[in-house]
Amino acid sequence: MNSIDYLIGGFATALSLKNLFLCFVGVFWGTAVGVLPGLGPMAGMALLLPLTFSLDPTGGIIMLTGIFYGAMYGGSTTSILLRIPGEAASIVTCLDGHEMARKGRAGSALTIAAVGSWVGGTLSIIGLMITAPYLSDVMLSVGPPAEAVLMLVALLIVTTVSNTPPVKTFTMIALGLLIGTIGLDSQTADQRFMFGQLDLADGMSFVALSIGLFGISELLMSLREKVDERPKTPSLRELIPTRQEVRESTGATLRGSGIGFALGIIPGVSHIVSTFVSYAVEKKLSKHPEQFGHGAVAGLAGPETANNATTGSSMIPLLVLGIPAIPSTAILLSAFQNHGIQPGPLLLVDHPEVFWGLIASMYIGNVLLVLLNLPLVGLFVRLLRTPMGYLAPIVILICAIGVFSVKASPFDLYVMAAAGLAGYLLRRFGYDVAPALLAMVLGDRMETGFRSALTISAGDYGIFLHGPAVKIFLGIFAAIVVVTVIAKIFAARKLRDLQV
Amino acid sequence: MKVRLSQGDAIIGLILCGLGLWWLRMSLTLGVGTWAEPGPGFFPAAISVALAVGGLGCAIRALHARARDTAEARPWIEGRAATAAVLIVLLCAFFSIGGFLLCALLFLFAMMVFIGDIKPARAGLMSVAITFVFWLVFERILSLQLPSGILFAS
Repeated sequence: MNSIDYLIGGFATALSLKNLFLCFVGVFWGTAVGVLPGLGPMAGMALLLPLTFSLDPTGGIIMLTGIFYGAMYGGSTTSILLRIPGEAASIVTCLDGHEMARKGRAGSALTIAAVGSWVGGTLSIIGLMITAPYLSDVMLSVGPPAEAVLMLVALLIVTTVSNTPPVKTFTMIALGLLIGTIGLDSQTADQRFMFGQLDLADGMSFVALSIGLFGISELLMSLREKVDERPKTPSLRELIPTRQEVRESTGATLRGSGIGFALGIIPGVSHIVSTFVSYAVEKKLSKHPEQFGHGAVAGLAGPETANNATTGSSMIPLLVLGIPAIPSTAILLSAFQNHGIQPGPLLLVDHPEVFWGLIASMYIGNVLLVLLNLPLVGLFVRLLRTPMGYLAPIVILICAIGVFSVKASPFDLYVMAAAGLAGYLLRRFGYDVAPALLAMVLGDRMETGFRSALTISAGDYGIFLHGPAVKIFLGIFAAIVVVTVIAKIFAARKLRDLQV
Repeated sequence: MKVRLSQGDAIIGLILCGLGLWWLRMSLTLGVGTWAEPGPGFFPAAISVALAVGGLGCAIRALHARARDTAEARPWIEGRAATAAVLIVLLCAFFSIGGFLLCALLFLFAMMVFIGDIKPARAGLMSVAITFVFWLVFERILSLQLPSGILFAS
């Protein structure tokens, strides 16, 4: 069978009534959490993660992935209507998107963002579909030393590209790796840091930690300040952009797709970087750069497209290498593992129905997003008007139900509460908790690879520098560091100009 | 207690440094093995050192930034967030003992009254309605395992 046959099989899987419904639930819930300030894709996925345990692997993954790209889309609604980024990647969308809304073009802005998201999302899925089988073949030849180096390189890249100071990211990664060592040692079955608590034998509950660190702490952060602005719902007629707006957005949309896809493969905060880079490129190429920040269509279309293109390509490291490039894909990794599936080069060989079903569902989900969200924009605006007094307790209760229902363990609830408070304090003082979660997921594989490699080499550390795979990974790391540093300088200058 | 951003940053850095040192001590008792044959404590010990060094680095960085920190001092956990944090801790502590129905009802009511400034009568009505819908959806329809608690234990 070739890729086309597999894709047709994938569409047959994704178009089954059940999977179509789960895809709809995912994109709808994703858009809702993306719209609500304080809740992002991480919290949205973590909340529904326990529900996927009772579903089949393909259905569960389809739903969670739908939440992921639905949330990235939903963030643009609050950015355009309220100048509040629903999630960090939508910061740039606020600049020109909200200015368009202030000039009475809110409907057009929402449509341009939706179409851009669809184009970016779809092109990035095509890219994922083409590259994944080739990369999988390469990865199948990689042994334990290269795997350990790959994990280390991934974490070093996160440190390099993160938006917080490198020393803080490094510390958070160390914290995550340490948390990952809790439980029975995978090689000797020694109890490590369990303090006599049998609930910790399999390690700290990923669900409890991720819901605490992201869901609870984000809610606590959003409770600090009140948002009183009331957005206006655009009518259906207002959603149609003018010819001039279509012309101005076309090039930006295509360029945004390319930028988003290329940067999305880099582990770390690629969504934020890609949107800023896209904005900078559009301003540079524009004949009227003075319009940027005052409602320029290209300033909205480019970054919004890049944001969603990044979502598709950030799936490549997860599906091909088994490495979550960003925290949201770490949740997906956890979902895969809970169903006994290890993402990586063997995914295409052992579970083609899951891989191709997921790819097909992403095409469908991107279409659903446009078809559902533009007519339903009024509903999401109403959701925005829900007072936090009602919303916060409901969300927290769902968090508690989700965490408890995994193992019926009160201990996991204590972990969730502690992680929520710790996450709040860390974020309040400028620490990004996302790298800690990534490190927690990658730590076990890194340690196993490290110790297995030393067993193979009889204690020779030179094994970590030999072999073509290791050299390729280190080369890629060096290239990514150079590109990221340039991109960050570019983005920082852009941000400074905007602040001035 | 109120803290400036740089002060809080430094304190958290020092806490992480202390955590790293404490973890290092525990890792060493697990047995680090040799360079050629690492034991179960080897990897955690190496990471503990990294955490301690990183935490110290964060603290030093924050102390250096103190002069530039002009923002006013604010509490560790502010206003409504502090109330919500206490209620979340109580919910988690009593969830399995009190059971879903009782805990959900009281939690929703307290959050709506104290966080949302909603009138008690309205909050009570909403709490009952939401608790019932959640019980119906999660326990009856989705068959999720929720604690029955001491009141409803069979």
